[in-house]
Amino acid sequence: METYKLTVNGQPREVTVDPGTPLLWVLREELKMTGTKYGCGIGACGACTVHLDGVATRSCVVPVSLVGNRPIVTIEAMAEDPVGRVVQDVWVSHDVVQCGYCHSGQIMAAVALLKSMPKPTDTDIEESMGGNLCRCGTYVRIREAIKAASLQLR
Amino acid sequence: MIAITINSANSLQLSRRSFLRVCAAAAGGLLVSLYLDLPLVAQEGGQPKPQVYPPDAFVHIKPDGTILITVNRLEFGQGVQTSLPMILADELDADWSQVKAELAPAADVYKDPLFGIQFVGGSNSIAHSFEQYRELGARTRAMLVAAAAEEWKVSPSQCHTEASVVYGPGGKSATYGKLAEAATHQSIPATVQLKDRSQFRLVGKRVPRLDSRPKCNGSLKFGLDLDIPGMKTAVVAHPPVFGGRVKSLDDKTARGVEGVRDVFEIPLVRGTGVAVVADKFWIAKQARDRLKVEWDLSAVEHADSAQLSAKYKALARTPGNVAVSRGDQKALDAIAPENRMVVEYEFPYLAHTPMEPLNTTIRFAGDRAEAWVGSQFQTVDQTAIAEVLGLKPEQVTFHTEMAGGGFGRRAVPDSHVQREAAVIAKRLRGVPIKLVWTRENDVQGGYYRPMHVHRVEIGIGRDSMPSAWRHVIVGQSMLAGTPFAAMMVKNGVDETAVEGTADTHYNIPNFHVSVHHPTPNVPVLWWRSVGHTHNAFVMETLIDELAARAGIDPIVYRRKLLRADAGKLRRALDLMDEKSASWRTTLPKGHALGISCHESFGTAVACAVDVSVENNRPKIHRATIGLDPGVAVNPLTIESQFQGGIAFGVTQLMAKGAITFKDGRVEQRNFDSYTPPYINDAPTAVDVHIVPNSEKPSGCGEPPVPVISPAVVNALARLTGKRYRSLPLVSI
Amino acid sequence: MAGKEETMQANNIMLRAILFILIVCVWSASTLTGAASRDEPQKTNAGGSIRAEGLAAWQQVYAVLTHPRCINCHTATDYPQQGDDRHRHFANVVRGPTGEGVPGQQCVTCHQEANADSTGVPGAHDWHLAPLSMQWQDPNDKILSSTDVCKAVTDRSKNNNLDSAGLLKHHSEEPLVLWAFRPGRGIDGSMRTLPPLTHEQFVAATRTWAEAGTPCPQNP
Repeated sequence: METYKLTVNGQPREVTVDPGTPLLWVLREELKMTGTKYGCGIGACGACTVHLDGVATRSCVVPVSLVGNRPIVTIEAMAEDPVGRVVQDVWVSHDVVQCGYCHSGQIMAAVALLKSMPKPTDTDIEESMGGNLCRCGTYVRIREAIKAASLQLR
Repeated sequence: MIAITINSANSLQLSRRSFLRVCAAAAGGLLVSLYLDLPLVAQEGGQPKPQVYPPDAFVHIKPDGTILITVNRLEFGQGVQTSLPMILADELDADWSQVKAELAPAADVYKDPLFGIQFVGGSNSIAHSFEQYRELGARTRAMLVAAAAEEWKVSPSQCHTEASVVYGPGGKSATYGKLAEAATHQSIPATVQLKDRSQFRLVGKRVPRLDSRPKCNGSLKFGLDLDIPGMKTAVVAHPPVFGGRVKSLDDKTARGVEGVRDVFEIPLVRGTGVAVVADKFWIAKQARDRLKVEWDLSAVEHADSAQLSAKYKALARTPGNVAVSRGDQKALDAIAPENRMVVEYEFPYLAHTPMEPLNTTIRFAGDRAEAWVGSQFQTVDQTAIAEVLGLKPEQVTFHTEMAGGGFGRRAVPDSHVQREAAVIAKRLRGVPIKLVWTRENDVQGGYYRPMHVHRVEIGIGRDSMPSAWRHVIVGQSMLAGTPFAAMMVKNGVDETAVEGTADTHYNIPNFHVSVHHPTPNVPVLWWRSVGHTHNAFVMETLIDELAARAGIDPIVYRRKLLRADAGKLRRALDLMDEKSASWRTTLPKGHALGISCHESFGTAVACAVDVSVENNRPKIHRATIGLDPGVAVNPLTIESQFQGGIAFGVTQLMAKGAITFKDGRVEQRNFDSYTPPYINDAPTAVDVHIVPNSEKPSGCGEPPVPVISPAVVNALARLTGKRYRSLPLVSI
Repeated sequence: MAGKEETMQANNIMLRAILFILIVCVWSASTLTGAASRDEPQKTNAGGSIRAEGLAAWQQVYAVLTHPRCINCHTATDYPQQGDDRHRHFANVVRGPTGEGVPGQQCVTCHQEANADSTGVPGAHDWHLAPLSMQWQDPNDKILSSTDVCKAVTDRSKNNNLDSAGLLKHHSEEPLVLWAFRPGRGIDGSMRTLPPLTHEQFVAATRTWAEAGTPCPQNP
């Protein structure tokens, strides 16, 4: 067990866990922040996506020991984020979700995309969202929503 | 707490909670026996069962005007949590902006009106509960009006309702919120007047989902997100071959992981396993990884895909149990060889892999228990948990959690996940236990859509239509050994294996379908659209091949071959034809058109796709869908279901979309080796068109799935000249 | 203290003497050998034997470069590979404009500064794909020949303008190169397979090859 000082959504948090504990489970079980989801545990589905120092990061494969002092931002903070807010609103207005389980990760990936590329092409969208799984198949609406968000953000 | 009067034989005044308890207790012994003794759908066949559902169990109107509607189905993406409330709210004349929805716990009153168990499946939520929820809304409205009329001393007929307000003569009005208390003292009317369809304000409209925002901001809790004070998390090590048993267990290292509470062998539905209970999931998983288990795998069959394939193919060459036989069985042999086709198809085991891994939370308190499950099968799961805990079902308070997908995986006749959890909860009495299946557990844990082999012999008539058809299907029975067998396995034929072929709407005069049900040691289960997943593929690729052989347009050919009374299919086909006409004929070079149509669960679907080959994979640029679902309650939900269901159906085409066995062991482990469709694999654009129809609503959950694989493969056939008889599509 | 220094000096002189004697012996032995085998086909001149040594050393270097731990990121395509069977990396990860992925899925989305053995993800500083100029496979994922890889690696218009000293330094110090020799554990707990040489041997072979003038084999 080791103690780690983390910055989560702008707040200092301290946890004492085994160093190999993935950031995902630190968030979910130590900090009780269940917005970030467990889908596979091997980085293949993207449900666990957070932003680590602004970079879209799959928290299920990152041991807390490798986080360092990089700030962590989760889905819970997106409503306060200028891009996150627009993406969430568009997700709602476009009725994107079905079961919803993958959408914390989808939104975090989409926000990372739009912050880096405010005017993504269809190819940009397909590539950046290409590793986020949705079993309900909301992909068509994800594409439309990202394009709509991009228009709104201009 | 709302008190209601039941104007019936009971005539009791009950609070809401105690009503449910009484209801459940009164049905107590019945609850179990209803499930086990009565064949399901007895009501549908012979005995119409008019039932007055008490509005109080379904509608709770708060003084501030909030209308909380209880949904008797699991919400796992299909949108029922919005569409059933729409139906009720429409008849209620409610202000939709005040409506909230919640999922019903397990209770007698929430059972499906036709099947007599609480469940979601078969794409029949709307079909079975449409009238039920209409009546609930109408009843509630009638009681609110009666309350207002009583207060104003006028006749109810002098009142009308609109947007959660009752209006009376002389400018009187009162909100539903104000009237709710008084309304509960009114008697529940035995009969109600339903709206004329033309009066619908919500039903038929594109109404956005009620649960979007919390699903977008991380606040909605799924079963896996539960956190109950004192809770421990459990994971289970399963035998690598189904039915294997623990021979020896060395848990010393596992117990050494800090935070581990207990490690012990548990019985499973098949064989035995090892449970690890810890403070947190990650600790439990680390401990499980450090278990040293020796398994006894000697007493069970080791399924092997290569062996099964050979065995199934041999079986397919022999006649099986007859599912349907019409016309002249000798007609086929009388047709000249050059006008006959013999083809063989092969389909793999498929895992569901809903995004939320399976989980169940149970707290056992000795004389009671509480369970939290994202369950498609509340009655079944509740009964199973009670059985393990030595309780009566009504002693198990069963909460239905929002679920992250299901596709059939959360409706399991043997409730194996819930039983695992109950065994652990029983041992750790008083401690809430959250059992989590890791994704590896899920991919390797069985309950797959079975593998199948089809062998089809077709004799083609002079009109280029199939005049004789002999079809043998080989695949495990999903229902054998379950209580559903009595209803759906007859004369050795499991209906779910032949649906989509035996009940074809094509006019094939001399038609013979038979089936073999081998029993390899692999647990199997329905997978979104069940038998249609493979049967539609066979039928729609063969029909397309016949059309190509005859040089006839695939849509024209289908129109010609469909039975005259296949009204829904014809309408769906016509609508798809109309809506795809502009792009179908102007495809760019390297693109091809694929057509399919199929009816399942009462809904007819026709599909046109625009496909090219990119990086040796099919790229689906566009799909146009025409469908006839009877009444379309929420066209927005339907559009999503079809866009999504099409993408789900692409699972069957994925290069790594197969579960295979070697020496009893599942060769896949996670999404790296069993890979469902990502965004690039799914169609880029899907436009959905609904035939306006005034029939009863049929379903939309499963009908999208069967049409996409054959449509895509039919397009590929045009591009490559090859026919694809084996899924998944490993190469083009 | 003085006594110790004197002892050290004496030891030094003795070591040098031994070394000198050894070199003389080895030189004599090789000369004698050379003389004794005059009838066999010869690469007798010093340049020829250095070149031969260099080519032999290159073969060793090539064996490392084309091992999965290295070549999985030296692809000709828009994707990396993974595993000993070098299958396409899962989850549709792509090269992106700079070999670092795309905003929604960068390499560092998963790959951190060090191996994550608890989750089975390898890591090293600045995880990214080698540039397309350093592709050691063809677009069908077939490994290029020794000749072609050698040519690419020594082409200063392709290799980031590295001369032989630069190549040696790259092989000695580049974090991603070092990673290949400490590749961490996979998700099933097993250690990833190692290249056929240790890092020290790899650097030694590179040096021998470099000192021979980075010769490339002819195509057969």
